[in-house]
Amino acid sequence: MTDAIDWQELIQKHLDGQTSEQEAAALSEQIVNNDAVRSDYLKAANLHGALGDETLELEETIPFTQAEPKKDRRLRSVTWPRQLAAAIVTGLFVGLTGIGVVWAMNSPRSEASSVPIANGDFQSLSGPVESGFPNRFGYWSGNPAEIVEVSDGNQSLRFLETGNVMGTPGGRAKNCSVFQLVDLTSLQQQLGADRSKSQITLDLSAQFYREAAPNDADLPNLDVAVRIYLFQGEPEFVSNIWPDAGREADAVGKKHFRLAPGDEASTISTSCLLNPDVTFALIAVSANARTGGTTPIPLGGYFVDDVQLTAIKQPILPVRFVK
Amino acid sequence: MRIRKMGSVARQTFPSFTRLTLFQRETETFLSNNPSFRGPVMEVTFSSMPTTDKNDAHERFTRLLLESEPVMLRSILVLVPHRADAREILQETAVALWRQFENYDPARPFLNWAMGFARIETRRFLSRESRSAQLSEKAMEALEQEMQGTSEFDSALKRHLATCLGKLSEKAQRQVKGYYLEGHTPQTLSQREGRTVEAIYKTIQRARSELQACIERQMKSELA
Repeated sequence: MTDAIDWQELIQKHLDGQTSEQEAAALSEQIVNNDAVRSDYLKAANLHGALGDETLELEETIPFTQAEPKKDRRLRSVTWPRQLAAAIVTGLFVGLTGIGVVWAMNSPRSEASSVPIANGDFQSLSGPVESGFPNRFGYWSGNPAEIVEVSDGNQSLRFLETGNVMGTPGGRAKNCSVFQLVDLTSLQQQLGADRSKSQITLDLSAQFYREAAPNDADLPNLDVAVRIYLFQGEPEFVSNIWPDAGREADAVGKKHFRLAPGDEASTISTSCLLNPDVTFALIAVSANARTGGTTPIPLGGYFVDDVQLTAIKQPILPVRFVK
Repeated sequence: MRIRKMGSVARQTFPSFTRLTLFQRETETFLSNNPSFRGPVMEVTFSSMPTTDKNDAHERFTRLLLESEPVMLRSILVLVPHRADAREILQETAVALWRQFENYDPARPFLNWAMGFARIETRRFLSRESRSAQLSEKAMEALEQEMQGTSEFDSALKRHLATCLGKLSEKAQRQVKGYYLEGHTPQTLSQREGRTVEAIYKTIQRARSELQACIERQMKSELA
């Protein structure tokens, strides 16, 4: 244990019971001999006690925001006036033509559950992302990008410059993509092979934001994207066929979005159907310069955070024909 | 198992305040985390509650303990940060206080008297449970010494905690709320949030550091 130890960090770990015996002994020594550490410890411990004390009389009300359950964005995108308009148009169409249409007997009800991905919030990582295409599950890698602490204290992934992730000589460097391979076998086991009564959709979402950068004017067409590819088999084969892996995929989902510097952070999502044979997913977040050049382009202030993968189970509805 | 243990403590001497505060809070947390749990909680009785001739003493004790309990719990948490452990120590302190209440001199502040018991029960708990990574005896003494009296930070904490919580990111707020107010473990939060347990710990620890820095900034701006 040396002076290089971040005592503040060790204090925080100790409050959550995460210190080793050796660390607790070192912290104890500092508490006895170092006034600053002792004072910091007391402040942190008092705060820890106050946060758990519902009887503490604060002089203001705690402004916790209400956590919202993740919604099915496809349903959310259709607002009620559009639903109403669609119902009126459909009613007129049926009434005027008298053709047979198919109606769902029950209203659709979906269940969403989170699919674990490694470090989707980047909180446990820092520094440059591993370069190259991933060939095993559970880590981020890709084009030049780094995980940095941003102004609100959270960690985010920053896209640094475009590149050719396979390192192909003369290959185009049109985007900066960071990938992760996600093992879906345990999810598939939980869901079971019988999909006769329900269908499963995988929804990939990520929050992007952009800060102003000196070279913004050079990148007028730059956008950000989320992509998901579903495959059967072993993950190694994808790295052998990238960037043509999309052709071999069981399903693909993509969504692009353009952000101006200083715009509010935007969460974008894409989804695709999960068939029972799929064994893993390749997910990607990227910033695209939309150029055909081979020279890497610095990307300025593009960030992504809070990458989430959600499985949405929806019933396949019984139907009947009406005239 | 936890309910059984608490029940056995409660059966010894706990008067009605138990239901209102510690026991009820722990029981509700346990039951909300274990919706299928049935049984021992129904067995808990208060058969050894003191009889009516001591009603005045009960009321006085209950009132004094309720007033002091939050401060005592926060003081115990300084030495034993694990919340379940700290609450267990507090319960045992309450039992000890009730046993000795007839020796309490009302002319003295109850909190000071009670804190002496809390210190003894804390040491007794730590020697009994032998937690591996705990602070040394010397460190605990140094902290106890410095805890005497109200620090500026404590009063600033009451003034500014709400404001500073509002400045945390939505994600940090959600996790702090889940950890502290809803009493979830990092394991439960990791499932709920779809993140690793390590990431949950890191977010909460970072949030506390930010809150501390924010409160200190607010203190400085008050002085400026």
